[in-house]
Amino acid sequence: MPNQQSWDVAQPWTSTAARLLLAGVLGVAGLLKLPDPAQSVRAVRAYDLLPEGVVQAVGYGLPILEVALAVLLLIGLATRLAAVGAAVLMGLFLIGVGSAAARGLTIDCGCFGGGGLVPPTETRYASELVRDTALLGLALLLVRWPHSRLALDEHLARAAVPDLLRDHLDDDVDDEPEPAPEETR
Amino acid sequence: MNPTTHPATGDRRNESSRRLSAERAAAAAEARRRRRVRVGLAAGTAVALVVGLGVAVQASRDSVDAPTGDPRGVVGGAISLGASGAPVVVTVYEDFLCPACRAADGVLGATYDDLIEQEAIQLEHKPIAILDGYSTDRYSSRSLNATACVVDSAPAAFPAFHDALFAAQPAEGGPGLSDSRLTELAEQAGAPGVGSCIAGERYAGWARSTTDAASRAGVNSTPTILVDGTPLREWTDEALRTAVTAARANA
Repeated sequence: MPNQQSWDVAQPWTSTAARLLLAGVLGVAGLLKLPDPAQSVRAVRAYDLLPEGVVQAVGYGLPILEVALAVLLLIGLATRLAAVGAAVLMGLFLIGVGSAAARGLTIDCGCFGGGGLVPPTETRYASELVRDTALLGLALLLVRWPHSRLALDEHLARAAVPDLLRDHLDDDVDDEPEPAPEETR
Repeated sequence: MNPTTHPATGDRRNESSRRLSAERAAAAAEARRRRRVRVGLAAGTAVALVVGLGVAVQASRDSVDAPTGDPRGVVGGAISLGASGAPVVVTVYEDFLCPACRAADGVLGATYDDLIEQEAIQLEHKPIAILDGYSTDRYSSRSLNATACVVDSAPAAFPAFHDALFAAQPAEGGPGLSDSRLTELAEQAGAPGVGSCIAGERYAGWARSTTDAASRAGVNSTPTILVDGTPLREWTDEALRTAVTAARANA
């Protein structure tokens, strides 16, 4: 199956690209929000979805969570876990922005700092939804295929196996089923 | 396995070697799995700790010392101009760093003055600070504090100081006016002696709480202009007069 083979070659690099892209967007989004916690809280409040106590916690914590996930994805550590986290975040963002649009609110998503009310002609719900959907796709791709190049996970997986067994560590350290051991000659 | 199914000795050797190989592969897979679980647990714990710690840090960065109370010229959370018995109340939320606020005020300033003079409206100014992120020296908060200093020391100086702040508005993304420049403008507007109030940010707590109050009231962008509580969508002389007339008819 040549298609399967070419995917086997392309997949680790595809996952690397997905990792770095997701890390970049999450990292920038988090870092832009970190300097102004009060604004971050106000942006969350503008969605008018969460009770006041939760609004504060989310406003303070979300930027840090974004940066933390970005770091994990950047270095490729616990990739699948980080990808699950990122996918959950993107899902929640989609719900937030979608509900803001559906309720006729006119707010900026506050995804990269800012946020709050904007004039009705300046809402960007469509592009925000498309962007978050694309990012959700990247995160899900990583959940399915977390094995990637230039990742700490890869080195840890190798280090986990005693030398005696090293031969049996196929290159693919993914969750794929073990290939049948080679016939001895 | 039943060796009778593999009569040839070669096959038996193959079989035992294959079994050893399979066992080693299984052990390798198990070692990797355990390592992955440990890495996942460690990373998950680390993220939870960092976020928990970060929330505490952000919350403390976001808090201010005990509020100093309202400046003298602030009554009911607003700096009010015009007759208190006027039939319609126009409320203006502005940030002195916000270009759209400056533009809206440039268009509507004369209309406000006219409507106040006719005693058609009372104008409530509720300046807030939401654009510190667009300033390298927290100009939103500093200019709001300076306004509180002016209003506390000489309430009558507010309109002149307000206009002076917009006239001298710095560009977003850079530094704002210095404390000494703010003090000069205050003095020119008729509020001398507020230098230490401005430099010491005496009303930082008030600035913070008034901004928070606006956010809780649903005001998240500037300018927000309310005519008897209804947002003005278009910032023109005509739209404002129409809205005031309509509000008056409803009252």
